[in-house]
Amino acid sequence: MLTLKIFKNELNLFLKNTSAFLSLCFVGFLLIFIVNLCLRNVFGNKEGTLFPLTWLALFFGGLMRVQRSFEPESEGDILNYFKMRPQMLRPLFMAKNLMNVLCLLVYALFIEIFIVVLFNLSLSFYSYLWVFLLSFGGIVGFSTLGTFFSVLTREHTQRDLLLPLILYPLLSPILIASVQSAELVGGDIIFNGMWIRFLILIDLIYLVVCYGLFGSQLLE
Amino acid sequence: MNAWKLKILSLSFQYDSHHIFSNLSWEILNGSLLVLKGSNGIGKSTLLKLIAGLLKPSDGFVSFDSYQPKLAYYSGLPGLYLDLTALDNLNYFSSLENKAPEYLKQIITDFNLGAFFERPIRHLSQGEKARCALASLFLSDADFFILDEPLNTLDVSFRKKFIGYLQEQVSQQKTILMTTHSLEGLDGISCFQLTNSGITKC
Repeated sequence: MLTLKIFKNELNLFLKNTSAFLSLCFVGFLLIFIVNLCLRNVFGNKEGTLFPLTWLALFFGGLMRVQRSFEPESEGDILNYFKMRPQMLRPLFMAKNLMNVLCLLVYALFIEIFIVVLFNLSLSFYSYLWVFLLSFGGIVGFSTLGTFFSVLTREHTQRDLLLPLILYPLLSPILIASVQSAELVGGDIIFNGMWIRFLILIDLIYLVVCYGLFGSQLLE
Repeated sequence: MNAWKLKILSLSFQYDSHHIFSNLSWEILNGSLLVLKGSNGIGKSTLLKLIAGLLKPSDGFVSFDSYQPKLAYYSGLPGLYLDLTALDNLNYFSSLENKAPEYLKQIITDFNLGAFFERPIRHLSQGEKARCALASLFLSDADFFILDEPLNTLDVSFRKKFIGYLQEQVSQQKTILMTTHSLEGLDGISCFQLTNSGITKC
């Protein structure tokens, strides 16, 4: 119930300040556009680029998003309120994480449509749906870790550098598993069950660990 | 209402190698309104944060006897979402505190927020922000309110009203500890002075 109340407020904050999301999309589109401009003649299997390019945009855009997870609380000095009510810390984490997942999902949807159009990919709706679902699998782990570490690095003067440095090694399994979980050959999708199971497992581990540790880490 | 006593014993605090205070002892009984004075940098805000549990002492302890009261802390900063309106903020915090809408209406009246409650916090003056922040603080059913210089930005008429509001809270067995530099309008309120040698009555 608390998670839902906080999530509702997160949604309200998101709708009141959409400029951050728009700049995120702009960076993603620009990145894909530059890759298309520079490497369009290099790609053999054009459809096969969808997963790696989506994750390229998700990694940089996702960092921008998760880095700002606790910006409204820091700006308004609200974290003290939550620190004095430890029972609200885990719902706060879950609501923030949910909002980040939702935001990155919408971002991934736009990015994938942009890649399909820009690279002129011929994909069936079924394949596209699966690409999106597998992106969701990666986004959950990415957002969970990002939300967790963004609160820990929020007061660090070098947080813009520190967060990607901390996140990159931990995100590598997610990036690899997400890209390897399926392959697009022509318009068809070929699944790799082992990598999908690994992705789900790593998502669960990150969710449980971050959810469990969030309160104590914030109070430290 | 449960009776409790705050005990501060041999409290020391330092930031890195800079000593703020050491060997500080003090006691606070519930149902009182206390003012803490002291020169700039003497450690008033640090002491309030230690009492609120937001900082950990370097040495000594802060503890509550017999009952752990629910605390509310005002740092002097808004403690509100700057992009949301005062009303959105108050609605949100009152929903987190499970307060009835009637209570929220009463708070809006008590803190004279009607004129600006539909404007984003970011666009309010310092005094208006302080009023919103204090209103959101008193939405909680805390027993012990720790206020760091709450009177600083309030205008004369609201300052008087707010002191009356605090006295009303104390009559309901709430406890209020606040720091201030000016005792104007605070006649008859217990005043303490924080100095390098400890806390003494004014």
